Amino acid sequence: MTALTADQIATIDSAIAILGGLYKKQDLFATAPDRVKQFCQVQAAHLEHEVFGVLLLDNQHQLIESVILFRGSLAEASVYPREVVKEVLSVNAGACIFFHNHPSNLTKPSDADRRITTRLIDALALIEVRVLDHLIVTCHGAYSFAEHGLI
Amino acid sequence: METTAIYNTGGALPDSLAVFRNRPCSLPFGNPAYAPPTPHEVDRLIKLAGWSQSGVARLVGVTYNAKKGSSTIRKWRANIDKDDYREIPYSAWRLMLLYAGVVSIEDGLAVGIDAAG
Repeated sequence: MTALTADQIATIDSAIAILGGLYKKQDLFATAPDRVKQFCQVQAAHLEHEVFGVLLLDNQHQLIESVILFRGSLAEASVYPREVVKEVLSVNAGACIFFHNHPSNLTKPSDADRRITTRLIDALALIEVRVLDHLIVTCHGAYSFAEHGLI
Repeated sequence: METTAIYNTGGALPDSLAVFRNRPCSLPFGNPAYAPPTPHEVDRLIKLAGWSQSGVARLVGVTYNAKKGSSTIRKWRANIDKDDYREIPYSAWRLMLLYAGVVSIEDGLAVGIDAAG
């Protein structure tokens, strides 16, 4: 991927700020994958390394906070359910949506992606936090586990 | 009790029994996020479990005919806009989830019985 210019990075940063502001103003709720995909794409799709993040939501699916939890290398990021649970409890979230980017721009989920999703769902079920979706974002699109019956 | 918002995925259906566990329809009735299953979800659970129509009828205790199957089960799986559609009772649905191994007795007991009734 060609390196981003300072102007492009500034544009992405302001887009994140605008979207984040909309969520905080209660104009946007995570009620369907489409807008959530946009939000996550803007945050992570352009990165050259993998990151794994979570949208922490209240019971009405309003965004409380968006957090990048783990940073990885070119093709993988290690994800620890314990750290996820800590973050979820710290803001008293009732539901969450995971997202990570594929720098290769392929949106297809790997077996590892499916396995970690199941582990996270099981870990969060114990504390009654629902996992609504897991999104894989790239510059060319996003893949929703929920839309494909994987969640 | 506060109602919970729905995350609308356009009617995508689970591709495995394990995925059913995370669905609103697999929550106990007393959970505010519980949502009744759609007829498509009923149909998908039966297919994923590999049950026949008569087999399901035997499991949940509704009438069936060895040759014709069960009209009750058929109505639970019918499209909502069809005249013969009937909503599956929670008890029958929960029993199916239990037999399919999607939920456990303990899941339901955790929120099903409390002092406040």
